[in-house]
Amino acid sequence: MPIETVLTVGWSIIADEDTSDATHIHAMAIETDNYTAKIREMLTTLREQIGPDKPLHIKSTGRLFRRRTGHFSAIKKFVTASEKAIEATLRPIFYEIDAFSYAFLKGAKNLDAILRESSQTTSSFRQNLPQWLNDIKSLEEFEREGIMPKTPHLAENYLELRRVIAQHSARDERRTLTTLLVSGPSTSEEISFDLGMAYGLSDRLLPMLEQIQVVKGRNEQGAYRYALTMEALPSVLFGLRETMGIDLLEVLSGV
Amino acid sequence: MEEMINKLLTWPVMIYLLIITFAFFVPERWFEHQRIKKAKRRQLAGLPADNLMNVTETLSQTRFEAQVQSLVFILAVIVAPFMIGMFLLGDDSNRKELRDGLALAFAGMLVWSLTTGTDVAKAFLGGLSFRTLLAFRKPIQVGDRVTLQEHSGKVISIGTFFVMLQTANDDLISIPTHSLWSSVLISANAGERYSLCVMDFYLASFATQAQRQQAEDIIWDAIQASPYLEVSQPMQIYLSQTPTAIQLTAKAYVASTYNEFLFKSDVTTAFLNHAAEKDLPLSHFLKK
Repeated sequence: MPIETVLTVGWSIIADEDTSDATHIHAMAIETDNYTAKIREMLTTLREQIGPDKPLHIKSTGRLFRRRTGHFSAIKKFVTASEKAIEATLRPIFYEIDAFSYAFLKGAKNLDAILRESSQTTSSFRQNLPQWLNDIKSLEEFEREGIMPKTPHLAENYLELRRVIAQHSARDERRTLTTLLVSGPSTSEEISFDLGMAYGLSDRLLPMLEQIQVVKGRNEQGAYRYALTMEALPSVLFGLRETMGIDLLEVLSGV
Repeated sequence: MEEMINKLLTWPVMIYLLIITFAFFVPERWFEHQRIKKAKRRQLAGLPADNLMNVTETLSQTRFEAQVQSLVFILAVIVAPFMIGMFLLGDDSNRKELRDGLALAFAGMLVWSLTTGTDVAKAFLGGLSFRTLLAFRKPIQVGDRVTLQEHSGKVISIGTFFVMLQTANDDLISIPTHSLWSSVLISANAGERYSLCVMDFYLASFATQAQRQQAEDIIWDAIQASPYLEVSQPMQIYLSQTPTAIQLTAKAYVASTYNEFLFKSDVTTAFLNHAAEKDLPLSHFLKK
């Protein structure tokens, strides 16, 4: 039976010992001989802690993969095992996943067959979507006709980002933004490794993106990670669509 | 002959010719004026001259311009003489000479335009018709990666006289628009942002079943890991055997057709890195 899934936005920080976090559950289960049984056991414990009938939320499912060769096995294993592990007594249970990670997994891995977007709850993604679509439409008019968007600071934010990604040579800048969108918060080393970038380029690029408030750094799980800011998302989505052809919102529109 | 010339040297015919002249130039000038106005507005908003939405923008503008130009031209050549005859000349029998002159001009204009007009007129009419066809049927569009008359490149503009292509080497090629009527038109992306990308990889003929499977898995992962992938489109990998190698052919869509080479480079780099890491025997490698 498909797992009820809630699409989130904004990449909340993973707390070190959060037992309802998918990365934590996976890390514990992978140490055992029976991965599925351990997941069932941990979910049962969480269910007992919050009591029956209350919705149980498993966070940050999308953080189990990075868009890198050889890094998709954890999410596939976790999702497949979870589907087997979730019994009727564990429901209602919702797996939270970032909307853009989900868009990628839906298109590339067909994981939406198991992770089914829930209709029982309104996700933060669905709440934000109308405003984003509106902002993107405003940015289209701004770029095409020079008509100023009504959303405050949208034009200024966009112009700052545009200076970075519009240049023909901005290949790594655009790839970095795509990686941050799909893989979520990342360290400079992770970005460099994922994209095979020259040493030190992401060290220069990410602070520059932070300066124009496209990304924000934070300490998480013992590392300094950069995540896209919510304010920059409409500009990033629009910019990547026009320069890279990537339109993850379109992938999600058919969910 | 003199009588015929006299019939043509009348004020209704002059008005008709004036309307046709306007129909040739006014829409073009009007669109140019609009483009300048838009550029100024964008500049005031702090946007540089290059438009990030250039492809979609130019495409919709080209379609609109082609439709307006065709409409204005049809109105001018075909409808204008009837309107002049109906409203300015009426049924008055004294104006029969004027009506005959106008009919003569109309017939002459039609025959001249369609058969023996000047090269410029023929190019204009052929080009205009082709642009109109593109506006409705869209066999190729601005921004498409195409092959036209043995030239490959990105369509920069579809003008009345020329279709401009930009090749991979940045050369600009101008192909007469009217000549495309009888050409084979090949579009890699048919108006979409994405296009199919076919990549071949070669394993040595002695690769084991496990190694072939490993190679296939690496290619899948490498394609999916590339930021250039269009995730909404399907992917395929299939095997075939050549006399010297086992060929793995991957078919996947690149999100922006202009990034095809970068996409291929991304996937090939990842494949070669992992092949080296996992000691996969590539074609032309001698077995140890």
